[in-house]
Amino acid sequence: MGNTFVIADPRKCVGCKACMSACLVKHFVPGDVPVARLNVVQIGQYTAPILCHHCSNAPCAAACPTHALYNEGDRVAVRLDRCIGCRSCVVACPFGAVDVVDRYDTAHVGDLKIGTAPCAMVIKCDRCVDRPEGPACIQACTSHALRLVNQDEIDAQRGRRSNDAAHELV
Amino acid sequence: MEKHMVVCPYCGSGCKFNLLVEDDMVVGAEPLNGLTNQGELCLKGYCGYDFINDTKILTPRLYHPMIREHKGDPLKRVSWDTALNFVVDKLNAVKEKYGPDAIMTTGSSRGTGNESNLAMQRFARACLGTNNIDNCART
Amino acid sequence: MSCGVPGMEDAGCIFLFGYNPNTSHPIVARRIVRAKEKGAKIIVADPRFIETSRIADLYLPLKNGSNIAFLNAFANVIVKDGLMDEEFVKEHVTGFDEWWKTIEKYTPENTKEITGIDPGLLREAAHMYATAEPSSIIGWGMGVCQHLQNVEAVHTCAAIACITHQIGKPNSGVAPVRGQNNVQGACDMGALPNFFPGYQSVTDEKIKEKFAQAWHIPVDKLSDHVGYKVSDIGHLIDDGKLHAFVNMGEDPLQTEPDTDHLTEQLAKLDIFICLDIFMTQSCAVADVVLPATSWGEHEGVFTACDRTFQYFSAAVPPKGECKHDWQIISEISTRMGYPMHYENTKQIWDEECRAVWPAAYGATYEKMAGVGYAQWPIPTLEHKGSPDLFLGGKFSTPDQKAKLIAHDFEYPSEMPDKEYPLILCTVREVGHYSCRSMTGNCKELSRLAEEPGYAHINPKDAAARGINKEDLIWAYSRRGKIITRAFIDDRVNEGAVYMTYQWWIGKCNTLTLHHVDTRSHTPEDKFCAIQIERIDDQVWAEQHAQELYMKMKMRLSKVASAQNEPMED
Repeated sequence: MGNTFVIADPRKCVGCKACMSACLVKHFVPGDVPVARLNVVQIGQYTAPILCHHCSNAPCAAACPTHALYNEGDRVAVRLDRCIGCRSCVVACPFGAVDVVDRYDTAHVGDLKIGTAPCAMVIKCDRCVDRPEGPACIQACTSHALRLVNQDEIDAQRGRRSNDAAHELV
Repeated sequence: MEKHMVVCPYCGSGCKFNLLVEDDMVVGAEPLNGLTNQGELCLKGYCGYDFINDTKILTPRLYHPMIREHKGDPLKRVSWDTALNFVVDKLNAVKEKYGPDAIMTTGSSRGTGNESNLAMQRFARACLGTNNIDNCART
Repeated sequence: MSCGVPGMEDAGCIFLFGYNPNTSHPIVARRIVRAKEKGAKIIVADPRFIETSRIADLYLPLKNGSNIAFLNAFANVIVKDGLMDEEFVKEHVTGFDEWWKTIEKYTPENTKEITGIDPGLLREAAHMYATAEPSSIIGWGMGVCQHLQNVEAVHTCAAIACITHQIGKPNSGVAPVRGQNNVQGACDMGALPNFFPGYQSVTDEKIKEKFAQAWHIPVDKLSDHVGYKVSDIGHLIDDGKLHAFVNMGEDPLQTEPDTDHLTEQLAKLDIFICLDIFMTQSCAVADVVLPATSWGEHEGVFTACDRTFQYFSAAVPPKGECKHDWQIISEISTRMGYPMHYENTKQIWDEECRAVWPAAYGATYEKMAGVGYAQWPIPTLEHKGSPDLFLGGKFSTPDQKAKLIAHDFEYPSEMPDKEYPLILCTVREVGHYSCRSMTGNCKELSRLAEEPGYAHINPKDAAARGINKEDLIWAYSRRGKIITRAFIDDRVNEGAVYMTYQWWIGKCNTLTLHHVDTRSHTPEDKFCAIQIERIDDQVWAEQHAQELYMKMKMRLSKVASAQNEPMED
């Protein structure tokens, strides 16, 4: 079955980046990587955030040699501790919605802290599955341009469009 | 957790929200159904409260009065009493020597609020005797 | 603003002129999207293809610095094509004949060379604006104000609203949306060199009498002339006219133009006093630094851009030895022999605002409790407040009529030339605010946008200079040279560079021209000539920018650390 993901309506998006800040707040916690998982793109006539579609046959998950990215239920999940920073996922994603960034971790030898070392980490929308209110970006959007779509909704839209097309033909 | 109603200190839209406070630290912002914002906030409203907690990301907060006794000296910490007397002596000297119009004052179009502007303009006009008061409306 | 922000949704047409609400006021931008959904026509005139251009019915890419030529031609079309509301003009407007003598000379055809706008498109826009039902709103921002001909453009925008009767009825008129949260409030409260609180003239004898009485002083103690403007302090210090500066919560060394020169000028003052919450670049050179409470630590009233008074409470107690700004001022005043004492902000509000400004009398703290508000004019306790000004065509002039004023077009002060072929226009960054002392100290906001900031450049201008995406570049003018990062942007017009003004390394106010207009003394931040160049050694440049930034942060932190030393006295 199809997956569930956040989609943006560029006609409603005002480019205010509230979604990016909300995403950042969500991930600004110990053990996570404080980078926004979605990126507002403003090119020519287009303004809207680009983010992960949680593809059913996810090329990023297929390309990942360590299963840091993997299909789980109706989404593509991330396990940071498995990421080796090889960037295969970045190359594979057709939407440019996956990135690998440096995370600064404190390295330990026993109990001894030996400073911070950059460590490459995959960054991708996790659809805020651990957030009871649902995706932070949707909640923060000032112009109601973001929403969650699932298979039912896609089916309904397809139905509407095929009906419209039928009317056109008559 | 305590909630305190505020108006956003950033742009002129006048959005209302609650600051969420735990142990005298501001930990979050929660939009209210204000006249202009109707339960929405932009990213500055949503994440713009942190500076109160003195994060020192860019610049440290000021906690104590400081003066530079002579030009070229470094700033040094003094009591309020010393700082205010220093200010008063210097302002009186300038007023005496050059007249009240040699003193410029500003209000602030930012977080301080209308009441501080009222106080400052009264100070400039009634105490100093000058209309040299302005704010950064032009930038 | 002559209308309220919520009312913008119900206008029939919104005409944005030099105003990009999406970065400066996202919450207002949302109203424009809603207006569009409700059927409003949207017109955008801006050299950049700004966000709202995407949903605009008409987009007019006028050339930088051509505002007056454009607006005059726009007004000309309205009159010549019979779109004027003759009855409204007869009843409520004066000075038409004199005004027309100037406007008559500007046609869409003869201004095309200056504005770059197709005459047919300009006509279409003028028709759309003038005929929209039930009302049209002109919104403008710093794209009007920070030009040489700023007051001129405001006069002309207002004139266009008057002759079409797109003002003086609900949800209509002029919407100069204010950039800082309380710039409307600071002006309302008399932090202006020509007005007491409530825009009451400092040279009007009767008004002076009233304030002298309220302040318990003889009337001759009040100055009989208008004071200086803050944008003139540099010149005034050079001329030996200014010797002391009491600066509350502003950072002129970040926000004013030509900052290198201003630093030298401030050093010449006998005394420079800063009341602030942060160790800013201005505080670092001050003779006295007085720690004030921050927003969140004090209560009070702000005025939103549409004249709405709203109360805000204190969330946390003051830190260290911080005092409220109004307490500090009162103490200085008292020590100087003029006692000022207030128990709280409510007392100040009642005594210094409501009691002396009739239009604010009904704005009580009680009305502003919770999500309550009071929009002035609000003259009585029963009054509900006024979202719209000038209803019924009654203007705030002695004869209650709008006076039309026209101006001839002038070119900006510094036109591009061979050496400096690009136009620099300073703009806003959505995630940062003013001098960045507040937003730069917020962890998420500082992550989303950091030094040295971006210069937005047209792809052709970038290609001509071998500049690639994200390259560090030099940007220089006759006044200075800075490092910034290239953002290649197809929404930006050729020949122009757009930079935001809050960065320390990429500090575009090092480049801007300190040329202020004669009326409002607003700097010409939207237009000066610059050149840009790719930095050959990108690795060095990245390191250099980083080091420079660290050095500047360390400097402020070191200056501030004096406050942690033990006291001598």
